[in-house]
Amino acid sequence: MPEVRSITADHFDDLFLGSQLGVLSAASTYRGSLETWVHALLQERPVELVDPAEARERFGEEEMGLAVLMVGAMLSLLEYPFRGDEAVVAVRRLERTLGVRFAAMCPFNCSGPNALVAVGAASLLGLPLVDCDGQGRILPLIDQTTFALGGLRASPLAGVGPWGDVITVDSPGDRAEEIVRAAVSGAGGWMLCATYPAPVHRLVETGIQRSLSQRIASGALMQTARSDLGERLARHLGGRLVARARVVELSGHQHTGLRTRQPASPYSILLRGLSSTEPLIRLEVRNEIVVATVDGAVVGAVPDMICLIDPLRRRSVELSDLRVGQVMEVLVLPAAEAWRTPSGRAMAGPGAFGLSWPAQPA
Amino acid sequence: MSATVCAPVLADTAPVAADGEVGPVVGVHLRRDRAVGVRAGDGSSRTAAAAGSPATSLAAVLAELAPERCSRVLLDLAPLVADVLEGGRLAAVTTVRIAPSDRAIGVLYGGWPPAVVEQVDAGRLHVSGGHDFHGRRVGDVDEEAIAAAGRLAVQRGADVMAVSAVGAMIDSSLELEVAARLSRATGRHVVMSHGAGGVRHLERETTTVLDGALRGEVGALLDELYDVVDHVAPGARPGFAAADGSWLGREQARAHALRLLGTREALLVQGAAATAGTPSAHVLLRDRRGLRATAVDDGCVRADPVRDLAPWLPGVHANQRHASVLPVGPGDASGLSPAALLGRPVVLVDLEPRADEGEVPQRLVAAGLEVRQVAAAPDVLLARGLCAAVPQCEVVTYAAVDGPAAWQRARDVARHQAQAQVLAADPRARLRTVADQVIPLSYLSTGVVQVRCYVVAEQELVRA
Repeated sequence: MPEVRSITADHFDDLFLGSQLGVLSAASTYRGSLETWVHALLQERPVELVDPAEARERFGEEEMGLAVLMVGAMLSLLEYPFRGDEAVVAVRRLERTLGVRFAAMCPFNCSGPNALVAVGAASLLGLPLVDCDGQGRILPLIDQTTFALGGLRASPLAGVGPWGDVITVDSPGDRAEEIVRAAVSGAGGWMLCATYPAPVHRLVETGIQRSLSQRIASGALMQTARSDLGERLARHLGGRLVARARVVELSGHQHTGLRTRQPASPYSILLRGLSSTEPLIRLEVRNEIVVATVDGAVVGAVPDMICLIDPLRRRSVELSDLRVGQVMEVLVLPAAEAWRTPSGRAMAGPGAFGLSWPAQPA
Repeated sequence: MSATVCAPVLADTAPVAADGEVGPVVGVHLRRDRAVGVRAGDGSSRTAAAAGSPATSLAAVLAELAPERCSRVLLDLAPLVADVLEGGRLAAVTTVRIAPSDRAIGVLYGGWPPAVVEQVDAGRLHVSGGHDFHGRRVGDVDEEAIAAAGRLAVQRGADVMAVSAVGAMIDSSLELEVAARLSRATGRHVVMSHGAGGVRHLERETTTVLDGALRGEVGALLDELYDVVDHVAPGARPGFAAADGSWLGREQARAHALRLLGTREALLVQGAAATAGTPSAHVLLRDRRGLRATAVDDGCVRADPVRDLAPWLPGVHANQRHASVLPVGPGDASGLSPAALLGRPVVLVDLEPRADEGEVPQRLVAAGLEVRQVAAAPDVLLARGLCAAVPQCEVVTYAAVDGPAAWQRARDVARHQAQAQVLAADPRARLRTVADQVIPLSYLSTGVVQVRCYVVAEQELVRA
């Protein structure tokens, strides 16, 4: 795949497909208004994608960048769609708060709506997009990032909600997550936030590098792989195909583990493997899939990314679209190196989701 | 013009077969100049075709296929609905969008063909408000804005008014209130987005506007054809095919005319499965466009909820349940993972004669799959698909809940809605709940859940 220097409308299909990888609750696998809007923005103004190595040379030590994301439920965004100016309002508000002008931005993560939000925001603002993000996957909390692992702070932060409410959070005690989550609830289900204001160099140092271009490349593979998509993706991304299995049960349940900050109602997906031994695969969902077991043995756990791929449609599937009887491929893809450290595992491992499963899969 | 507001459930009043059993079924695929029908379900499969206008050709086909009693006559009007959409016979619609802002990333009529916009767009008005995700109404109803919408409809000569409110799938009371006021003020028929359903507001609005625009012409067609069935096949229950392969009663079809558009693939797939004699299968459709894959589960085509309305309105998305069909590739099966097809027969349908027709089955058989080939004229398969159609309804909605008891209540409400819709199509239906799920809304710490209930009529496979 040639290096992407400018994200154009021609990259949209790859970006859209690739961004859904490892996303279940926040997935939006059908094209609608959001996707049409971002595609139209890219037709009008492509986005310059700056490689991290180039960013170190191109931006001065003092030049500031930020990350943008949509906090909240994807389904609420579908019901209460963007007006279109939220990113501009949030970024300009943060600029006024800090008294700076941002030179570049990056995605908070490149998963689900946040990949599209970042690309759309960069196009609207005419800012270059640095090819790194703060999660390398999707995680629920705004302080659950490699930016935070590297010492950056989510606040000051500016957010805009569906009813036009604008908030600015400056939390000396690092309580931005708690405050924003309450604001999202009050605002109506989502807020588009401008966050992690920091020198571009620091975002690059602490971020997960080339995550956006990797998503575009994965999307291209999903478009072109004629068969055995799960195996090909696993090979491409250094992971493994755990099982091909049929969904047999979907159920919500009460959380009985440790107390957690996660804004999630526990949910389980049970699948019966199609191999001769017909193993029982259980996926525990806390917003996204956090643990996968096969006949009781852990085969994948956060911070690794556990993905469900529909082999017939050759794409990810969204939780609200999952049906008993569907055949799925379960993939485990390795987390970025930053998450594999003790502090990374403490922040994004099973314990962070209130689960006492071992952090290291069998 | 009478002032009417759609009720969420539209009962149909057609006569029920005296013995209450599902007997022989006739399916008729209608085009503007001909009809093709199949009679099935009584041990034989008879086919008939006739030329002429829809009413004339339908009468001729029914005279041949339904001289003896049949329990149902199911009609596929999709080509006729497409004619209405393309032929300049749409109603003018004044749209009231109730939302936080008058701006949104999706502009109604954005990307629509100018000729269609010219007919349909009888003004748009934004009213500030809606329900938030806690089920709370935001702001009071703006009486002056509602009155202005009524005046706009009169001034622009609207036939229909459409109301779409954000949050209507959590609480529909605002849409109902506004619709009642508009109806009283203008005498226009008012369509509402919560009736169209779907969890995307902008797509729901598009669906609602198109339902309103199609309603008059399609309604007249429904009445005309209904009378033909009543006259030629008395005692048979008429039904109308929807894009997800199900069938609707007359009033449901009138209220949601867009659902009658684009039925082809769902009916082909159902027809192929019925011909192959299997209620559950993976179905591969092959023609010059390539190979397309989908699945049938217990007689019901696997469906997607959001549709690009190409070729009628390319790039316009609507909330319309329709057959989920995946393009596989240029005519071969190399794009299919055999694992994805395991556990069910594979039905391969050649919609056109092919020189290499043995190639795909050989590959699939080599992969250990059971393959059944079906060859029939597409119009006949469509009619067979009609005979095999199953009344069904999937309700997807939201509820603000605060505990397991409230989860259960939300689930009960959704199930009752879905059951009522199936019974509105077929009061004799034995109901089966296929899915009944409460899904927590992720990333929110409040108790909003999505409720999904899918109910189908239990029936034996009508072999064609």
